[in-house]
Amino acid sequence: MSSNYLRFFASLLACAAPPALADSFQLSSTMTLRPGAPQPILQISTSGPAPLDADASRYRDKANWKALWQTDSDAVPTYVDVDSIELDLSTKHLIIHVSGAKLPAGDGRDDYWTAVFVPPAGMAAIPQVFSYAPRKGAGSGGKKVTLLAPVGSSDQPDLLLNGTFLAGGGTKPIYTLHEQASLYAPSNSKWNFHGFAPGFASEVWINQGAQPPNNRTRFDPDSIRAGLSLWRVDPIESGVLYGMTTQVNLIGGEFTRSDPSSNIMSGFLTTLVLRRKRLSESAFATLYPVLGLEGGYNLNHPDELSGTAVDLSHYGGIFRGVLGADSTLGIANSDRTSNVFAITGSYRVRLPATDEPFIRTVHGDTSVDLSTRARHWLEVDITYSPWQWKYLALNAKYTYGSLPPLFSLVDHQVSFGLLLQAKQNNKQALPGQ
Amino acid sequence: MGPGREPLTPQRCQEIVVESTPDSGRFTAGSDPAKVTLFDLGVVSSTESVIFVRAVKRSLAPWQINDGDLASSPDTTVQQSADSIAQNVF
Repeated sequence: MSSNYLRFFASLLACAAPPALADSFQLSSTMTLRPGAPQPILQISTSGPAPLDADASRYRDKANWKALWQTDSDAVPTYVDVDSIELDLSTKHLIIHVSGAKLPAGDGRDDYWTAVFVPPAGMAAIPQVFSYAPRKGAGSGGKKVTLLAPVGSSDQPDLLLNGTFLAGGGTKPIYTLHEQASLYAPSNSKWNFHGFAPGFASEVWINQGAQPPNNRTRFDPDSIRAGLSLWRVDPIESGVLYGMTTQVNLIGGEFTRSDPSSNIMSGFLTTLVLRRKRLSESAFATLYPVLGLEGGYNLNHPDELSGTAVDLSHYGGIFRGVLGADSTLGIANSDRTSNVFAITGSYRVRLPATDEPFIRTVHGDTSVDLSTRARHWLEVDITYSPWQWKYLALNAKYTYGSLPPLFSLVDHQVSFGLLLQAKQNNKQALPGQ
Repeated sequence: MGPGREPLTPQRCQEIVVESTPDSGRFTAGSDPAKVTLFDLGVVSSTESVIFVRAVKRSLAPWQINDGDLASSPDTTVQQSADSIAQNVF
């Protein structure tokens, strides 16, 4: 009897049988072979509580099982003897020990395997067929994954576009936009080296400082940062520190268009991933402290800001420390694939070692300070995604502080809008250690 | 089997998965590996997922697994993650 015939026979019976109870003992469809075993050992995952004694003895009865293997899915099957069956209730596996003169060498994981359970008369179960196919070889990868996925749990988005719109009497419409991207090469990229994945990171803030009344609608980027980056992950697993990620910005720029200024920059930012505990079954809180350094040189700067003459001639070399934290308070949905609701906060303080501009506009009066004072940036987002399509969410955003290159102060701004965001799926698949 | 590579029993695969999570203490002797998810053990975002993958790979040595072959998302059960090890190590 060929394995195809066995599968056909079992599927016919399965179609006619009533569905199994969700909270009863069940054999799943997943069968593996024990890696590194001296001879093949078949392992079938189970779920539900332990079977009743009578059923357990039937599952353990080797007369109710058949096992065979093939060198190829179309090759002639070779039946093997089922020696014994054990139920491992701690890992929820049913383990089948086989023997015979025609066993393949080693653990048998290079061959195709089929196991069939045919319950005896009187047992409330249906015949089941379990299949195992060898992986396609080292480095082939397993399941295919899409490039992007919805942002889940406390994920930081890898692609983000946030837009808001303000309209009212006596003012032209004010649009604000926030773009953020950080995309890196996947694990099988030939460009990875020493655990670092190369990629691209950018962040653009447009009209963050605009306030009504506004006499013309414009799209002037207040802060643009973009450049080539490297990214790596290190598990630490020591004390409260679970691991850390490091982003090295090789070469990049900081720009603003409204008052033309540009810096060429390099640096790094390390994120410490702390162990955390859930607040409840679905609620959780995260805290990721960050620290880094930024260094570079100012390439050009404006001679006047908002009609006020400024002297930025001493604005040259740049060296800053960066400290801060990212945090999330969220409620995951029941299947843990995304958030129903999340509040995320991000705080950075830049500590310049050299004089840098700081621009404050109050009631139309602009003042410029060239100093080493700390530059704060706080951003809090409340995101609610009621739809099935989790790439889109409603968003309320609070921002305060200043961003390079000109550090124009955004003074307690609250906005509401739509958020389009995604995470890079194969970013998990970074190079080996 | 390569030199120095001990067989990976379901028990060993499960131990590696649980010990590689941020909050492994939540998985006790009576926990159901087919129901407890990595989210329950502290893998609440892709950041922890990435570190979890690295920690599993470190514990598996000299066995190896491709990052994308290890089930590591927060909604994955301990059993599914352990099975993905048995299925895909080389």
